[in-house]
Amino acid sequence: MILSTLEDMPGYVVTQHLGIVSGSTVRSKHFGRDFMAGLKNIVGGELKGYTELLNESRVEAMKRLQQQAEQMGADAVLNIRFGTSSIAAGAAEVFAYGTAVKVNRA
Amino acid sequence: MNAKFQNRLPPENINVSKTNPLLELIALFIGFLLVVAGVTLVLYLAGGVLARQMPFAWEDKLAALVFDQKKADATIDARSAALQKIADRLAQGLELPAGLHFTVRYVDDATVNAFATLGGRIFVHKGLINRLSSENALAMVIAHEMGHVLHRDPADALGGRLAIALVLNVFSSAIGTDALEGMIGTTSNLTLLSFSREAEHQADALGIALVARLYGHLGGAQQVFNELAAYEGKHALLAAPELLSTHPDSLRRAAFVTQESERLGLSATGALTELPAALRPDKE
Amino acid sequence: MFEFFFIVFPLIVGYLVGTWLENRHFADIRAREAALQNRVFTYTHNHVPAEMGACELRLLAGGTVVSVDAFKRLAAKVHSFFGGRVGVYESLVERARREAILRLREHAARIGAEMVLGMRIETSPINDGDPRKSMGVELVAYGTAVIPHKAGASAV
Repeated sequence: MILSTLEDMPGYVVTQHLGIVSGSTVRSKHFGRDFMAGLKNIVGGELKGYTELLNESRVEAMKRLQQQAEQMGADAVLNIRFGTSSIAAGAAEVFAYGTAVKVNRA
Repeated sequence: MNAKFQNRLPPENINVSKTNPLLELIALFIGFLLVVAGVTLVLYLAGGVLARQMPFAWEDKLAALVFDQKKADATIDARSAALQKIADRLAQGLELPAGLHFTVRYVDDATVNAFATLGGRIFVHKGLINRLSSENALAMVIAHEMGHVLHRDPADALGGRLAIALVLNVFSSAIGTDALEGMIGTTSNLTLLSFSREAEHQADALGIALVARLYGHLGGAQQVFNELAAYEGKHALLAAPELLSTHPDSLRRAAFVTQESERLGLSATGALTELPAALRPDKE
Repeated sequence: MFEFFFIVFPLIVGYLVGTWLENRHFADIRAREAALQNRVFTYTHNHVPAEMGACELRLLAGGTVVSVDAFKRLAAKVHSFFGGRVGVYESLVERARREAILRLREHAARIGAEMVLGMRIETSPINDGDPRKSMGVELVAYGTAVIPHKAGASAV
């Protein structure tokens, strides 16, 4: 499964455009991370706990995107875009969406 | 499907899971309440243990700041003196830890209450005294409160609850829904109440021992608890179940007196001494 | 006792009614997606395919705001203590996303478009400025509708 933010794939031609696929996940921090972040706010610098959390969310979102594409019968997902937003206190949504396509070697 | 352009629909269960949110929430909730109860327990024990180490002299000074009247107004009324005399007689011959002493005061208030607090200060309300008909019963009340002081229960409660209040404040503000804060408060209260009941029971035991030692019998001691049970029966809207109350059930405490009298081989009845003149209810 | 009732009642109502409304919405979404199955092909591609020939382009958007019920709010709070996936919110944003994309496509269908290209999605939380007072989620899907020039016809 090829995932790309590009429109074309060099060496391949798109034979079918299957539709939009998306992967999204809403994750929450736990009390420990929050506490450490609160302390870090005093001195400044990277909030490693939160970075980790959002990284995991992004990986999960991409995994779901890929799952959707596979179950749709696609070969690749092109023109992928990401989005993040905070949904509620302590919970953030990360979503990825793109177009699933079938390709043939050029 | 071979069309070049299609609108295939992806399967639904990838971005949305089929777990029942209610079950999930209940499970998490139970876990959360257990954590709160556990933390409450640990903090209360830790705070209490630390507080009990505090020398009585500090407790005394703290209590003096809060409770004692200004030096100029230091005349002790006759009623407080009479109560103090009973306490002194109960304490006679007891080996008290360094600096520990009892100070009993009368409170001109119609509520049925008596309590012990820091520095060996004991307060007995008019409302309670007026419902007792013998010195023996009054001695039971005072001896019970003395039991609390001897076990350092006031210091324990203060230290424990202080520790909890501090930490749970941090907890609650980090989480902050009214519902959730309510649940935290309730759970920790419920945990603390069982401590309270145990402490009350121990104070009962010690109080009974002191009264038995002074009078040679336990007559009149039971009257207190029977009075309390009657009062609660008339005045409470719903009889609070034992789980939700700070004291063990009053009738159970009365039965405990009977039990102890049998164990100590003492009579549960006996010649009752009249209340000291100063404490008899005013003839209206 | 009374305060307890006040707290628990909205939660129960939120859960029962909220779940029923959500399921009804999903059923509605599925029906409308089926209706548009073979029309208005929507992609995130940035180029108009050569097959379309001469065509007119229109920028369209479809948006929706979906609100949280009391139950979801509490679930999020409890989850925020333990961490991990917040399942109740995932179904919320999924619903909002599919609805927004559907509205975009329905609008495109109404103006006679055959495709919507360069589709993008934006999500924002709706709250009173205070992230703890989460009222819902706003989701907008926007893209460029491609209306082919048919011989003699003109797009509305």
